[in-house]
Amino acid sequence: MSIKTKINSSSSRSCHGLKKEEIEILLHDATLTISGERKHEGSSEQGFFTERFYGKFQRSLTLPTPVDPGKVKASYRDGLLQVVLPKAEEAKPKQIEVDLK
Amino acid sequence: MTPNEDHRPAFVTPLVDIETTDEGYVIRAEMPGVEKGGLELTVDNGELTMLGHRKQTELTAELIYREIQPHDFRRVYELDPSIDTTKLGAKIDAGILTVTLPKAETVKPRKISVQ
Repeated sequence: MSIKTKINSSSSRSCHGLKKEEIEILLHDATLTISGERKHEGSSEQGFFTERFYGKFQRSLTLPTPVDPGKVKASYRDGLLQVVLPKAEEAKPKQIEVDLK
Repeated sequence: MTPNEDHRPAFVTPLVDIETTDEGYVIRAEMPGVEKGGLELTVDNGELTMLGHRKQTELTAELIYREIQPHDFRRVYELDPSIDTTKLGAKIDAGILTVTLPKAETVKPRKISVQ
């Protein structure tokens, strides 16, 4: 089983509008950090109305379960970043057979 | 968002940037999770409606936390009469919808040469 976390929302911490290379994903122990910077696309000297967020963003999540760092995968599609973090073997539930005598 | 009690579809209002130039207007709307096929742009009675249907992702695991509203995006703009509605352009890239609204030739600033 793996934990699937989609990091995005219509809030300012979202990743849409970025290129794949502009997103940094860092896993340090149990902390997953996603960061990047969104730059202005427009170059208008005339009227400009803006609601969107530009600049650096960063978000950190503490994972409740140890994950296998070698198996972490990320994909970025249609402005949504998806990071898949499979649980570490030692964190998976194990079934123990009990012999009744 | 209003509660979805009467089964009317609920929408998320996308954040936008709007630029104006001599050529016209450019709207950039944030629609993460929307691909080209999920876009519906209509102009009716001088109103531009931007609809972005999100691709519903199938859950392969138990959802333990949610911040992203699964609703579709919708935003309506009343268009300036100077816009040539036959020449609208639209594209979507990385969840950003860009709509170009050129001004009609007759309203663009022109230099008039003096004889």
